[in-house]
Amino acid sequence: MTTILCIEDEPELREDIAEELASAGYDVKQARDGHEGLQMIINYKPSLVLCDITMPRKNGYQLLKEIRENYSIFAEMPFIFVSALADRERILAGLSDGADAYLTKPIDYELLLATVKASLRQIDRIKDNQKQQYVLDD
Amino acid sequence: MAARDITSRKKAEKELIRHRDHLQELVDAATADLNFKARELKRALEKEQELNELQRRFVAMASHELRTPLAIIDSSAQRLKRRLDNNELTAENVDKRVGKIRGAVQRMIRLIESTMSVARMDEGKLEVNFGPCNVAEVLKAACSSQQEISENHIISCELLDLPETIPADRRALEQVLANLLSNAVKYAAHAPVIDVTAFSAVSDVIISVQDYGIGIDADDLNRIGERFFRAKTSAGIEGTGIGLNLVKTLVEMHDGTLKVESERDKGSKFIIRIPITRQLRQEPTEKGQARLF
Ligand SMILES: Nc1ncnc2c1ncn2[C@@H]1O[C@H](COP(=O)(O)OP(=O)(O)OP(=O)(O)O)[C@@H](O)[C@H]1O
Ligand SMILES: [Mg+2]
Repeated sequence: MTTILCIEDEPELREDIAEELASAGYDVKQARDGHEGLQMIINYKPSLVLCDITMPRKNGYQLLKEIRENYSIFAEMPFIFVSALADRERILAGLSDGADAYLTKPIDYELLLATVKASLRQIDRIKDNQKQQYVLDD
Repeated sequence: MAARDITSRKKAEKELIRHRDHLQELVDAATADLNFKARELKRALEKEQELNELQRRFVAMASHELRTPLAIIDSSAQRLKRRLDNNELTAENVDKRVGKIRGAVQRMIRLIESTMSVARMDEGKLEVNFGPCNVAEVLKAACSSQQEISENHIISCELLDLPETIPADRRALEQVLANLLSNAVKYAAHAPVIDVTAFSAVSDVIISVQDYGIGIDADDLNRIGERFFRAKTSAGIEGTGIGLNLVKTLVEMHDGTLKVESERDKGSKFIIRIPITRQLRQEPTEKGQARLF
């Protein structure tokens, strides 16, 4: 089963996102802020991370930076921002900082599920490619 | 003849020197004055710039802050629809959703009301209308309405021999309590207990709202209540920094005071005092007018 980690400090929203993903067949883990999020990424090695930006203790930017800089084993794990910071500059900054997608709040769940699916598909393709490479190398 | 000439020249010289010194003094004084004015201007400019920066941050935060409750409402609507389509909708689901939606609406209303009150305050149009106000009732209502939307918290409300009524503006009091309670819940997300107490002491009613959450650093304490000010401990937690400015203003319009006791990671206690009787004053009306401090 594909595990998705949802990092969000608003409990109301976190529960809903988890419910939506679970009913789409994913195994969902939840974290309340970036600090907890990092621990859970290390513990559960999720296939994909959905992450809010404005959060106590460690915000989304800080978490993404830390993962991209210090945890090369998670280099392929898609990281998607889900934020109420919805202006164009923020979105561009988030993407150039290394997020794979940037969704804004209010969340359109159809768009969220489609984005998750597309990101996972891309990772599968990369992995398939790598496998084929190994086969060819052999 | 010659002797007199010399004396008058000497005299003229002396006079000239005196004039020169006097002029020098005038120039010195004028320079000092100019320097002082320049420094004052610079300070005013810096203050203006700081306020502008705060205002800019406020606008950014406010739009962000309205989006979050909207996201909760929209999310609930989408989840309801999904369950309905899948034939999974139960009465319990509907009940839970209604609670979420109403909580989010309340959050938006509090923000909108605070923003409007602040705007009125800037125009000098914020008014309080004194009438007999049952504090105990207002307190109970405020606690239970916050409790309704904060399932994870336990709000205990302990009221000790309060006067039947005090002269106050009921709506203002409601706003004050709504802001203090929403802060207590917000800044103590992982510490469930909120203690509200009220009692009367000599000539005042004393109301306190205490939480055991993130707290405030000592060096931020005296700035609490300044417009747009947000303490270091609140980094990453949504907020605009207008709620307490409004609380302080409204309480002061009642001739009351707002005090804060807090320690990082230990929690915070906000204490307001409001006089039980209103002094008869020479002022034209009992309607107060407040300005930005
Ligand atoms: N109970 C509390 N515990 C810790 N810090 C608090 C508490 N209440 C207020 N503060 C601090 O005081 C600041 C100002 O509070 P205020 O209520 O004015 O604004 P806010 O909560 O940031 O936003 P809003 O205007 O939406 O209420 C907060 O940003 C926070 O740093
Ligand atoms: Mg507040």
